[in-house]
Amino acid sequence: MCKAENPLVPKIATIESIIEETEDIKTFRVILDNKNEKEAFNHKPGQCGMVSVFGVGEAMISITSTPTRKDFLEFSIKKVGSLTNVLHSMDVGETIGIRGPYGNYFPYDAIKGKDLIFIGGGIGLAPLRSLINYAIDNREEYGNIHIIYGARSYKDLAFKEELFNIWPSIKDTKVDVTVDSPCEEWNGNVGFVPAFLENISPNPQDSIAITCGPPIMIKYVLNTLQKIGFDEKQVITTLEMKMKCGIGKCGRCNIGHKYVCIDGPVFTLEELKLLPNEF
Amino acid sequence: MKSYYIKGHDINIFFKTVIESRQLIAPVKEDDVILFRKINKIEDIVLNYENTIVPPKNLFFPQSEKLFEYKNEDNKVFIKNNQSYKERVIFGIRMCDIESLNLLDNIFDKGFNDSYYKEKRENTILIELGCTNLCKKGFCSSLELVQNSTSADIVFYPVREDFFVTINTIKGENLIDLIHFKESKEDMASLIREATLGDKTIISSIPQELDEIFENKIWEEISQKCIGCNVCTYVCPTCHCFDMCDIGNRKQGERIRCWDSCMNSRFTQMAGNHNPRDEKQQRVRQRILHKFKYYPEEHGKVACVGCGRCLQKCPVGMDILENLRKVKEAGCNV
Repeated sequence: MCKAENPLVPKIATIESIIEETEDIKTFRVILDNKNEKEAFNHKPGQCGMVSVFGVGEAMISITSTPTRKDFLEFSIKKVGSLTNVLHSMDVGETIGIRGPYGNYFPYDAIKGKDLIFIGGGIGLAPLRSLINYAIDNREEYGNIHIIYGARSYKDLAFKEELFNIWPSIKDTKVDVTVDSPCEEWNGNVGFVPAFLENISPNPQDSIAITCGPPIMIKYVLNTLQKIGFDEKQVITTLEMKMKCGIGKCGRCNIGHKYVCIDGPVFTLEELKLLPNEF
Repeated sequence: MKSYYIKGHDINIFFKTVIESRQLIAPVKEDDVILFRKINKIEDIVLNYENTIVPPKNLFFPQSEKLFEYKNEDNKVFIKNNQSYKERVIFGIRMCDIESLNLLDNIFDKGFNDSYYKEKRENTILIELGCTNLCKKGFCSSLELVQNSTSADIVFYPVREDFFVTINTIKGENLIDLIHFKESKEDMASLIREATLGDKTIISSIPQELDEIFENKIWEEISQKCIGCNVCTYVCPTCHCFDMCDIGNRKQGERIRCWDSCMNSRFTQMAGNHNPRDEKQQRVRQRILHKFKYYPEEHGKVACVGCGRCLQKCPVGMDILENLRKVKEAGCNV
């Protein structure tokens, strides 16, 4: 048998808890069964795991939990296709597979001392959350934290407990939320995230903006950030493409000559501008 | 390293000896096509052919390959992964295909460990069969491929009815030592007939910057004929895209990987309906840019060996060389 680890064979994990964030988003907290694999996993904020449902297939999902909270891994998964539909039907105690951690990561070290502005849309808040909570767990190492988030409606806002109760209570941490269309339960801002961002107009000085959401939202947000004075080195995003192997061999997830699974998913705007428009 | 001169009929001694200790894979004729097959009877081996229709990538990166088996019992999943690869000899590989394995090595034998490919590669002795003519649709000389490639363990170069054999590696030497052939002091160059291997218009990677050619109208023009049958990617010795899927059910089954094609309309289809390459011209662009721009920028060589299989098999006559020329020209006219 091979001496080195076989990256195409998943590690086994058990679902420890499931939180229903919205009608179609669930956060799965899982624990790797094998103690050594669990200790060695050590992901960095922004990395992803290839989640397996045996008999159905795999999907690359960003790890939404911070590595500073070591005992578990969290994946926040939206029900959009065949695999995620089955995942959403699974219970606590059931088994999944995990390969990873894969991909590059947010430059959490290089951005120390800066003000962090997170701009998320819908499920896009999930990858950002790993860095948000990492920064919160290392609070003194970062400047002000500003979270700007929006979803289709109040019902579709993910991570409500953190958004409304936990994060606003953290030192020098501000949360601004918007929804696309008005709804009964919501008294806050109504409007799309890019316009909301432009209204808020965060100060680019000594700041880093990190954004994730539907491709169209990312494109508008990147334009808006540049419009309000952010330099392309100050803007970071995390992208998503269809993936299969997750290890840079199956040829599927490239944007130009970069494979999102190994050269991404995290890209600065400066790097993104060198890539062709095919995502 | 040593060389030998082997009389034509003595090659059977060679085959017989190999078969005794290892698996022998060589070209056979099946229903009018030439394919690499495991040899049980050495009479099946053909020596008079251009090339196999399915490239030898299939012997290292099979069309379909089991990755592991799984079994789910009361929420406990067990994975069984018993790879074991016999030592084998592949005889009759052309120099273009030998080079294709070097190009595939940059994908499968670098970065993350791919033991499925790697162990097959390690357990295989490659024997090149020298080319004395250019294949009907081949354009290998434009890629400056070299005969008597040192990537092959052994090269059999046909000289009239006989063979001039050179050994390039210890693996090769250990195999040949099993048979007591007469050593030759001749020099390969003096014996190789100057084969007509085509014109020397050299094919190089696309020099233009990506932003000069990516949005060019030329892609629409050259992709018009394509019907998306995917044959080019299957017969191409350097195409390596694959899919992974589970065969079975939630209780038990196996995960496999199998060839896939970037030319397929759903190749980049994501759940939730977003498809970055849902137009045919985007996929044709991806294939050509991958082979002649992205891969060479990363690895220093174009991902094409000039075997001509795509030209042979395309049902609508898409010509990758012609298309490449048009792209480079369009880039110059920007």
